[in-house]
Amino acid sequence: MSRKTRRARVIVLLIMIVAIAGSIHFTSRSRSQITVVEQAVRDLLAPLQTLFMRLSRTVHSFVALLGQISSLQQENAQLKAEISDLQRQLSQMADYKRENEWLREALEFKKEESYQMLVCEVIGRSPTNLFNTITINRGSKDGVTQGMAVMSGNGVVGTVQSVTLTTATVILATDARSAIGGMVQHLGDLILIEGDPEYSGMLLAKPLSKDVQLQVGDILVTSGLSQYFPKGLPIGKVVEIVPSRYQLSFTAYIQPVVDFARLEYVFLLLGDPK
Amino acid sequence: MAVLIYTAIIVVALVVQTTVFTTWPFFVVIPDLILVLVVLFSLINGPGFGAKSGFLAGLGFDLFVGELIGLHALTKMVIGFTVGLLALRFYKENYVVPLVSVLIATVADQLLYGLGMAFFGVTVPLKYLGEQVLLPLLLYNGVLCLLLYVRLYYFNKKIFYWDEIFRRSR
Repeated sequence: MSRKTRRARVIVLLIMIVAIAGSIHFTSRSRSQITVVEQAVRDLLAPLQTLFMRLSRTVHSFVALLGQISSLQQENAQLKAEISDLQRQLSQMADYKRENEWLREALEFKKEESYQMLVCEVIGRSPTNLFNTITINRGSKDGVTQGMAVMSGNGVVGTVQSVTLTTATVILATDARSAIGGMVQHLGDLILIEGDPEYSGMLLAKPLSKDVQLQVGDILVTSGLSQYFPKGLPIGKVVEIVPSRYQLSFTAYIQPVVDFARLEYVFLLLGDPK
Repeated sequence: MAVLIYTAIIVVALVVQTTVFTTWPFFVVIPDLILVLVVLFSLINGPGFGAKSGFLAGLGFDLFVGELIGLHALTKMVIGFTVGLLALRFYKENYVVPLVSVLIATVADQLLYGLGMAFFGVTVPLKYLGEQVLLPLLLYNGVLCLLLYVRLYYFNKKIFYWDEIFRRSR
């Protein structure tokens, strides 16, 4: 390799390092919009993600079913033929049941609250263990914008972090970067609810005033003070209260009402309540 | 031709990592399939390939994550290059070298990424990474390595064979 070529390579490498450092720095803070490249990559791969996610769920349901069948076979060897027929039916039933339960929850929620909702399928999750995000199959073409509230049938899931044409990334309430305005349901005291930086799966409640009295078992709901979350949506239940060193303040651990590991469908709250 | 096949492998791996690996309940943490592929391809094809594939795979990973874009590209490029360099000195037609490489690379990747986060002012959840992530991640990545290495080794030969045929046919 000639001296000139080597020099050119070193220069290209240096430019690349500076560009990457700039990119890391730029994306280390919260952004109002994601780049065109990110949008293109996520939109292009969204159909493939949907396909893989559905396949994975189907296989998972089938494997779970196989476990049930093996125990049935041990107990009732003579009913093998019948079980094989039931297996197919059960597989379908499990899907219907899950869908039915979710739709019922969504319907009840809608009856109670009358918000404009958009049903979304979860098509992916963050590939790293450091960030708790999900990808949903609705994007800017469906009217999704950054910051919108995301719910399951039970309660608060999180907020929309970034949007592409066909997908949106939702930052879950358990993520360390999440912060939601909440209040104690029966007292109305305001509380800031954040994700645990140590990823315990719990939420952390930090009182906004030193007079707030929290007790184990208290239910926390959204305060309605934010632009996107309406008042009174369930967030979680206080399970532990840890006082600070000089007893001047405390941090409460909240068990979320939503099972974040099993999110298949969620819904977005569009605009203001009717 | 070869570039397209490697790109397709990385894309599918990314999709698998964001879908299948995140939905199966027996994965208590998400295995790093991308890292395993980068390490194994670097072992097979050497440092130049390792650096390039590590950079591109890491960049794809970053674009999905949407945070600190470029940090995975850097860490995986360094790891791909280093593994490829070390592979020139070792007899790699066995399971020990790839397994040890993947395990060391897993620790190195976590360390480098953590250092990068700290350097750019992002809080590193050290306790969580050390107590809850590292051990299961080593286990999953190790198993993935054992499952994939021989298959990738022969598939890699096929890719070069197809590439050669494609070039001659043009």
